[in-house]
Amino acid sequence: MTPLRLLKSPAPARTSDAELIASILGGDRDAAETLFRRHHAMVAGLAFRLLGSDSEVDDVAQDAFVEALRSLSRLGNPQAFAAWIGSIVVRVVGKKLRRRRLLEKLGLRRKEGIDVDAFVSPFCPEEVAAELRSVYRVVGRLSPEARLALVLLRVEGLTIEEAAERMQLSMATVKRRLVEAETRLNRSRGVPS
Amino acid sequence: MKTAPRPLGSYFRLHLSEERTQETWAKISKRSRGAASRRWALVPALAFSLGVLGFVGVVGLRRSAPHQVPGSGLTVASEAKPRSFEIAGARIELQPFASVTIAAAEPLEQRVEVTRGSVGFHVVHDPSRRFVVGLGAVEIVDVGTEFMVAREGENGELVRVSVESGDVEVRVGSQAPRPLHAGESLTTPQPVVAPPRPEPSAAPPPESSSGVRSIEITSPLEKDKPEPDMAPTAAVAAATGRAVESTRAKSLLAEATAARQAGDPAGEAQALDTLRKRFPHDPRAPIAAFELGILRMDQLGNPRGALETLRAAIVESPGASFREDAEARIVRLLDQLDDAPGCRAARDAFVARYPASVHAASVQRRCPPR
Repeated sequence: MTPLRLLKSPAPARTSDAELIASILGGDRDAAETLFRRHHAMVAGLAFRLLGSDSEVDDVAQDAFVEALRSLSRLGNPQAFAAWIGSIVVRVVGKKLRRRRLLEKLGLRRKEGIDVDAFVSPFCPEEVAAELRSVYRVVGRLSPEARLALVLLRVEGLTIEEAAERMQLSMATVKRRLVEAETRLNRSRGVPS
Repeated sequence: MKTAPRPLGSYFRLHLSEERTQETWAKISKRSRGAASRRWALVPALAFSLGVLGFVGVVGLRRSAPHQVPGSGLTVASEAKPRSFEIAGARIELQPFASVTIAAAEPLEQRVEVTRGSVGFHVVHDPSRRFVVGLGAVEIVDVGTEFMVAREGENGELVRVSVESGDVEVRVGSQAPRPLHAGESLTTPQPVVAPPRPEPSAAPPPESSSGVRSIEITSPLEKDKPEPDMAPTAAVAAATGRAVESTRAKSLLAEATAARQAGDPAGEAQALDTLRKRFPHDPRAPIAAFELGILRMDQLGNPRGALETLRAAIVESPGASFREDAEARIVRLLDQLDDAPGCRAARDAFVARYPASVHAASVQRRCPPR
């Protein structure tokens, strides 16, 4: 007799993140891959926009997921996995930006310009593209924290509170970093502070 | 300024091919598996760093402790790693992703609010100044002790208190204070939220003189408690013995944690095994057995040992939250060990017991057919 289980539909409609995490903690590697595939685009996209280039996106995605999978048991609210891994991405990118800055100061790395037109969608309205160009023109000159604050608030569209949570900083600190970034941004646009 | 209809970031395009996704996952998978072995290489550097940090920390704390009066509203949070600090003679240890706020630093009262996660407190009792830990409407008043509090549930609506040594008083809303002694733990919802579903329990709920029906106090050491007519000295000796045992069990758990952080699964396994064997009545023993089972299964290549400890964990704490995961792993282990009849029996029992389990599908695929 054919075992009944062979006839069963293998995939349920959509397993929640919390259920996937419970399976991962029970040792299910397939669930880990499902969780990765579900959030990979978001993680890679966020890393891409924070870094301003594609070259280190895969490294950041790897670091973020490895760290997330390793400390999954400590995640208090499994349904908030997306926000949690978002904060890990911000931390990993922050480290990379600090390393870049150090290498640039030591003369071991050249400052990279960010060509916004190379990676915005062809359907992007001109005023949005202009805004993105002005943001990415100054990010290379900002401190890593100011850069992260600017991109999270102005490009990702997060609120101060959400940005503070992602950056693991107080809201007051995020506001200070944003002011720092916007002062530079306004100066580059010729707007008086 | 004109507002964009959607986040600017949504106009970016990043080409993520299936090939690229697969390659990234392959690397993550490989790194996750190989992380433990690679971490061995970091042990000496980590030990050195910890030594230096410890030295700096001790010097720093010694300098700052005598006059440490933090301002109200100061928030301290931990990230992926534990963090600790000292305040008014109390040492506060934040487990990963925990957060506390120093709500009041007044001459007669030091108050700390736990806003997220698990936090340990080591308090030197000062009769002239109360040390109060707040978790919403739940208050824990220290009477000179070591205790751990945690906010659990999706929105931190459950409060758990475990006393390592000494005593505390727990106040839930306007209810009368309730003492909690060494080795005891308590779980209670915040009074403002709906009452929780009653959990099936082998032991009857404790009598509640305060009328707080939702409080559940667990004391695995209950049977070791002295009889009421015991001489006071014997009672004191028994209580002291329990406190010492609890402290030793705790240090073994800390040893296991340190070994894990150093990437030493064998060391972690040894500490967990010692804990569960030497202190079988300690509240940490069942979870230590469960963690040991996972270690033996996933990292130490010892399926028979894993099977034994996972079964022991279930026997030691039949109502524990890890039971479902432990039983799912037992099915996998029996399958791996080619124990077909045992595997089928465990699988069928699992499916009958947890039909809606997240492990149900993977468990059903296990075991060779009859």
